[in-house]
Amino acid sequence: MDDLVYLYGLIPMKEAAETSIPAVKGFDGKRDLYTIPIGNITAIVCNLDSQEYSEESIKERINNDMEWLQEKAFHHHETVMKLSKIFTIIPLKFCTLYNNQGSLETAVQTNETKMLAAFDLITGNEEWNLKIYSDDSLLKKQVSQNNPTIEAKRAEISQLPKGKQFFEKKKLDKLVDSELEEEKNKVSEKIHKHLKEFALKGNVKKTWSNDVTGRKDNMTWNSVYLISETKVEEFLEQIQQFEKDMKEKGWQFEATGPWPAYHFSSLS
Amino acid sequence: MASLPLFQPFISEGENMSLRETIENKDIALIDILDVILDKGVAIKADLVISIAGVDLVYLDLRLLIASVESLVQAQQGNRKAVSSEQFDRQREELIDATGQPNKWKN
Repeated sequence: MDDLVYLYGLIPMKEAAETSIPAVKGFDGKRDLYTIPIGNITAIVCNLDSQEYSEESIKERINNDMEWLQEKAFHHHETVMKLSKIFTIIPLKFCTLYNNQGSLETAVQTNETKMLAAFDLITGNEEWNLKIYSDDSLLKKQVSQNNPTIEAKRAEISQLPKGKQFFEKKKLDKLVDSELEEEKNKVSEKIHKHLKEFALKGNVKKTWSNDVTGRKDNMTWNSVYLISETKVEEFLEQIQQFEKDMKEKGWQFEATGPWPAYHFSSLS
Repeated sequence: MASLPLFQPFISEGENMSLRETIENKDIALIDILDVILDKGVAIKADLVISIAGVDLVYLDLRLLIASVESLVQAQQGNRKAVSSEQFDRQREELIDATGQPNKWKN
């Protein structure tokens, strides 16, 4: 049976002709990466044994072999990252596999126009990620002190008989929580809007829970930006300024990049 | 993008470094990598796309995750040849910190 073809990324054929790809071991740790020219586009791939890497066996490992998933996810990203330092690259999703070279070629040919447009979009631009974290216990204090709705409610409760106060206080806690969420979103959205002025594009992503981040503070915002190389410094200065102004109030800003343009090479 | 050197020359830490360089050289947390590679990434029609995009990262057991990062770091220290990117060398070592304190998970 034929080998499977694992696709890491697509680069302009012109760049592939000028610079050869670095020697990197593929997904199985044995065989090297190589290129397949397909018209104006060059695919960067490696081969995989179709028995060992069948759909069932990969799914099985993803579900049950955490260590394997970690190692391979690292490998995928590390490889694409390295390539992105040398080439303009459309990065592919983890575990994009073709049954053979022919089916990869067909897929690339069918999408050529969109791929060339994606190259145009990402050339000269960089992808950056911003995650905003907040210390909610600190923010909660501020919200419950400076919010007129909450202050009014608190005054109302203090007039109630003791027994009733308990339940009303519970209700108030809920109110504080929802006001806090609203406030956090409002602040983050304002920051996002400001940052978008320095970017070509900006997308909001979903946030991850503390179980996943392993942090004490909460992820309040997660967004990605496509920024012209010439504007990156200015963009980051804005974030640094937000950090300076808001750190003591319980806000943390984590910018990472430049990333391969995972979020801005969409072909759909 | 195409003009960047693969390895940054040694720059004295501090004033000479742009913000961009400082952040680029900073360690990236594992969550940031997973956020990108498992959640997002370009998909084109493939015969098999093992889509784990729907997998919620919550299901990734953190204790296992930290253990596997630790073993990655150890494997790496034992065999420098397997390493392909300086930036990720540093990142991997930092990952243990970035994902939380391993001690916390000891039973």
